[in-house]
Amino acid sequence: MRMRNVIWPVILAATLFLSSCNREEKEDAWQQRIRQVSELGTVQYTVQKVVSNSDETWQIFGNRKILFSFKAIIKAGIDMDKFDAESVRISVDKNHKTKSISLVLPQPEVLSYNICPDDVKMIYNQVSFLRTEYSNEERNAIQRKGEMELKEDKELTDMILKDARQNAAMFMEMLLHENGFTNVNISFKQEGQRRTAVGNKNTKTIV
Amino acid sequence: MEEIQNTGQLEEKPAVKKQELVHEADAAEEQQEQEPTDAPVEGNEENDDGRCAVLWKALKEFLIKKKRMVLYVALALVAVVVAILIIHRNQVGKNRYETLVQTITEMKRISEFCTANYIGEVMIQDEEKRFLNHKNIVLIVRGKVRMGYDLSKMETQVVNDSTINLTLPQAQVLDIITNPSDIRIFSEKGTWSHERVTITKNAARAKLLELVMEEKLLATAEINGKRQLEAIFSSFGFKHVNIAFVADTTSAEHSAMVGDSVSENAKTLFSN
Repeated sequence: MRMRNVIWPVILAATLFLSSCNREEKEDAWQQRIRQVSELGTVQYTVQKVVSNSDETWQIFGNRKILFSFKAIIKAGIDMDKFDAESVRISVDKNHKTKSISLVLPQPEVLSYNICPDDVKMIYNQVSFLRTEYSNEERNAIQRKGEMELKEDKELTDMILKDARQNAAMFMEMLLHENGFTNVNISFKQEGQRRTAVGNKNTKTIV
Repeated sequence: MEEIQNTGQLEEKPAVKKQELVHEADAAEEQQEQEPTDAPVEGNEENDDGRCAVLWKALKEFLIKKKRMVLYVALALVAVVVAILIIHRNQVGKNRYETLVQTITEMKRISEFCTANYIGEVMIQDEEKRFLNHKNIVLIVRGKVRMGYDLSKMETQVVNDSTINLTLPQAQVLDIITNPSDIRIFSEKGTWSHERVTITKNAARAKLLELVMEEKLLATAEINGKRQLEAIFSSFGFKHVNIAFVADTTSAEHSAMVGDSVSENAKTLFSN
């Protein structure tokens, strides 16, 4: 009887304690999952890649080969969280009734790589009689290598970022022209790059 | 009386005995004549039995010896094969990965404004129960759902130097990202085809989208987007930024809130 009197309150207290812990964890985990961002995407590249794996490890028993083709959608643009509102300079010419604006945008960056499972196709699979089929883990590892290679391709990344920069400038110019600004001067934050002026009559973009 | 009789008999016996002896001699001669043909059989059988026994014994011993020899030879062969495999593997054993082709198939200008990212992890299981062949695969998929606006559909109206009206479409899902590096094969029993696993991965993506819709995260993206656009246009000199969203009457279905780049499978989940 004494044991019963002790056990039930302990169980109840433990249940309350554990449930409260879970609630906090859920809330923290939830907050971590949703992130507020401010990404202006200005260019989208679609890249087709074909990767192969040739397994000759146990050549005495035969080889196995596999080929995957996948499509990756790469988006690049500007992270507007890094946009410094204090860099904006607005001037109004009352005589000519023109408004001018100059602003500094952050350097563009790659915002996302997207390889949809439907876009990953196994186009060739040859396995010798004495070898086992490629497991799904092995197939996934090969696809992962292809993805990493894409992300580490500097030449491709530079090409995408160059286009992203140009498109971002064009987008901002168009937006500001539509909203009453006659002269628009857009530049990008310096990150060890030479300043080159590319301009027309009313717009000057420094990349 | 017996003795007398005996003598009488005795006198008769030698003659009889002689005759018997003659008969015996004849029989013996006959036997001898016969014996040359029969006599060897009887003698070789005995010899063969002996030889067989000896041979059999020798064979047994030989087999016993050979068994060991066979065992030794078999072990030696196995050792040689293993050595070949090891040497061969070290010399040639390669698992070669290479990129055969990489081409840019499309470049396009976009104006997407992503205002919220949801990062979630789902576990998805597929199984087939068959007699004596139970297959099961479990995937853990970590995905990112990007939500925001398509700014190409944004309309601006400058009221005066300090006021601007913006009309935006409703926030939508821009991307569901589940790359190969985000997918882990937790458990795999049996043989699963690539196509079947692709269906399982799409089911995980649909589950992520379902989570986003259930938690009404698009509303969060909308609120965040509104705040950020107000801040951006404020920096352009507009003190009053009025933002209105296009009321899409058909957007009661979730499929309307999903952007073009999202998998068709995910869209059909909600359209059914």
